Amino acid sequence: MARILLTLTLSFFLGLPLAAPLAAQEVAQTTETDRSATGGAQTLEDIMARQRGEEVPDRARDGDDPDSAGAVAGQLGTLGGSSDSDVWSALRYGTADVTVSSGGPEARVLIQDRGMWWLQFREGPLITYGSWLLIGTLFALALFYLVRGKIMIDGEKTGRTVTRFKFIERFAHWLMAGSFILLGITGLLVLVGRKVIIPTFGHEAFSTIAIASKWVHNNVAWAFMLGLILAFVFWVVHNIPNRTDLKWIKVGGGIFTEGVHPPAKKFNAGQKLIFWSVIILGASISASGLSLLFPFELPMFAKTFAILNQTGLPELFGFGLLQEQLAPHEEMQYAQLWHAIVSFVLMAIIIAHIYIGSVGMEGAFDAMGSGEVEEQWAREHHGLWLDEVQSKEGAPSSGKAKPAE
Amino acid sequence: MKAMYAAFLATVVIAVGAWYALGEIGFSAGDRSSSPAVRLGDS
Repeated sequence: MARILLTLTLSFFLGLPLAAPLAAQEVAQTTETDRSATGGAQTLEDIMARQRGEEVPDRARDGDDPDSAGAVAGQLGTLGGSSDSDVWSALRYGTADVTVSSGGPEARVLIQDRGMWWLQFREGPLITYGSWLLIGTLFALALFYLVRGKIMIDGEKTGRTVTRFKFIERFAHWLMAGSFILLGITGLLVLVGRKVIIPTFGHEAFSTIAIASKWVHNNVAWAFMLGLILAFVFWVVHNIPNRTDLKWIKVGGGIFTEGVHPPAKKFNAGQKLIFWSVIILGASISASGLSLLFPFELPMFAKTFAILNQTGLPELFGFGLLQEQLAPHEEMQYAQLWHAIVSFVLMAIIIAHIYIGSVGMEGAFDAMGSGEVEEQWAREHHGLWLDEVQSKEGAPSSGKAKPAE
Repeated sequence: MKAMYAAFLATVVIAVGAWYALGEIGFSAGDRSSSPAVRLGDS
């Protein structure tokens, strides 16, 4: 019995060093694709695996490019020791020494394989989730209207009005608002053209729509940016968060309950949220828009990714390290995606803003329409601001307030 | 409502001005990927 045990023990330990490489070899054989048929170049299985989004070892990335190929010899012709496959691999992975007669670094990119990922994301999740966001917002507002109805002025109207916004403030608002609506519509038309407009109206119709949309989008963008700057300058002082906002938030601004009117200055917490959303998201949309408007001149994503990597946040959230070297076209693709994603978010916010400023609340539109609001409206929604205005004018109940026409 | 109409008019003026200016400095995607030696469109 002891002899059997000794034999088994010795066999185990002696056999281990031999078995280990054999086991490793087995694993290697199962994980590594047989590329003998292509002389080590990628196979159909590699291509299929890459399309499935799997990691495929790239032989060409290990320095196998035409420059390191053998010299011209015998029947090999002008390519020397390089095969066509080597040339295409090097072009694909950006290791080929490409010379072009015009353009900058972008013109030297002949194959850019991240383009497919971008196209699929753009026509898939971007349109799908973006559309659901907008439809969901409209649905939620319709539901809110059915449940709460129009928010009316609770108290008795005074017949007097107070100047809420000056001409130049309203001008800035409408410059931004009008251009944003145009940009939103034309941006959506361009985005969903291939998937929605071409199948519905045909190529010819979309051609006209796309050309018009592109013209409007590229040129009206400047009006939006100007409006954004003006709005920031005029209203930033009034939109700095303060303690009053907490009271407003605590009761949900009184939006959900009739007769509840929390105190607020010129802008309440809800309006401050809209203001900062417009400024921050609008600035971000403008930055990515400028990057798209001046192709290849304003790359910003490789740098942003490098900064993000330094913070460690991408790894913390399981994204690994972000790409810090991007082809010029990849920069444009990221700019387009970011531009669209942030725009969808801002569009959803603005739809809610349009609702509350029009059909959602009695007297709200006057603030940006004529600039004159009913005093009772001001008392209910911006009580502290009304007190300030009236104390400046020295007459608590009338002052410069004018009778409503 | 005058402010609104004035802003809409300004939007049109700015857009036409931008179109003219951008065209003058040659910053379309086609222009950026091209050169006098490359023929694109009608030219």
